[in-house]
Amino acid sequence: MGKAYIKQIAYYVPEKVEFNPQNRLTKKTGILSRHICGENEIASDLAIKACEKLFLKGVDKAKVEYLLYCTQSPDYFLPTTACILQGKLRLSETCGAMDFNLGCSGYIYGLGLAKGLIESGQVKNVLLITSETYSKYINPEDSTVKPLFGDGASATFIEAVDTDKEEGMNGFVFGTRGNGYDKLIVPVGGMRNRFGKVTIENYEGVFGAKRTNYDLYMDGEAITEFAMDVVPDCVEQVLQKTGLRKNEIDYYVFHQANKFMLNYLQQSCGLEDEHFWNDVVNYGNTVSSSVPIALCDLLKQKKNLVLRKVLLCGFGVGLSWGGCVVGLERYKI
Amino acid sequence: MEQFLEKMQDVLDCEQEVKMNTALGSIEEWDSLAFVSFIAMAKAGFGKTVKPADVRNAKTVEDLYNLVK
Repeated sequence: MGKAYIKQIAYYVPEKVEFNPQNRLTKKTGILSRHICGENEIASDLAIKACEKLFLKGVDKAKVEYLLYCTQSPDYFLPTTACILQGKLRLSETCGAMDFNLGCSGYIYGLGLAKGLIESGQVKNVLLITSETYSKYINPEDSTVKPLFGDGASATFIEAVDTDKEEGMNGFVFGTRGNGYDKLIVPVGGMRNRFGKVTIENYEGVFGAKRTNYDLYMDGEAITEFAMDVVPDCVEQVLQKTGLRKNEIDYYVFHQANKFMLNYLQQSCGLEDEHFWNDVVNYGNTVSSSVPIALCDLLKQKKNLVLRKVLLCGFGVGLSWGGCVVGLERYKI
Repeated sequence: MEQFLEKMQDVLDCEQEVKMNTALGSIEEWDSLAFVSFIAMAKAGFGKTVKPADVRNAKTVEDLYNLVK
């Protein structure tokens, strides 16, 4: 059976780049530009591009036994987008495929599922894909939310490795605060408030930010409060579960929400002296793809670092969070 | 207190000097972004979970200080 290991990661961001206005918000968030998909380009298109890059990096697609697809922007209500992806990627017909709907915590949940599938002996490997296009949900005149989110997709190949060592992916911690479901939401379009059957309501917020009930809404205050509340505890629990001290972690990679948020989280977790990834400059918040994009860039930029223990933490829409420690020493650059 | 004012200067990211008796209404940068920053700073710098409603009721910088001290 063996232990589940991350073997390879690739990501794709759309060609089109949008620059944020040079203002106070941009200075604080640290997001100078974002990649935005085209009118007819959707999340599963980005997912295919990310997978093609992964296959070019040496992952044999004929080997893939299970496809996990994390998105909140499916092609259709039904069928499952992961099934469409299996067909378009020409994966084996013996490959399992399923979607799961999560946002900023999704990558951690995906790794947890992959570990379960592999270490229980159900499959030998998992292709975990994340892809999100919040730009399609955000009102173009919502000047407070639009500059935060960028589109993007990632593909991670996780495979069983025969080893007795306590490595791989460990210390999984999960959490949910479902009564905060309406703090980050697209209210209309699902079954509760069906598309076209609900009257359009217009809202105008601070700085003349405009949106309707058909658009993405984020209560920034509530989300900040939530993240500051749950992330330090989550990190603490992951360390406890793995029996590691703070300084034994080679790198901390959190969901890349924005610069000032990450700075405050670093402080409140007491990680000022640790290696802590904070890079939103050219991507913005890419939701479920932010952690794998960060990991990919980290591996590329810090080739000399041995990354045996990387602590990941995701938090956001749901409200949902999760954390774990991954070893990247089997990753082939 | 000095440490607090320093952190507030960072939260507000403004030109004018921030003092304890400064009215929040007189600071152009006391906006929703600074509001969110303040909530995060209170937790990160002082370990305090402040309620958004209490922050909203604050009239001066000192009122904010009282929430974190």
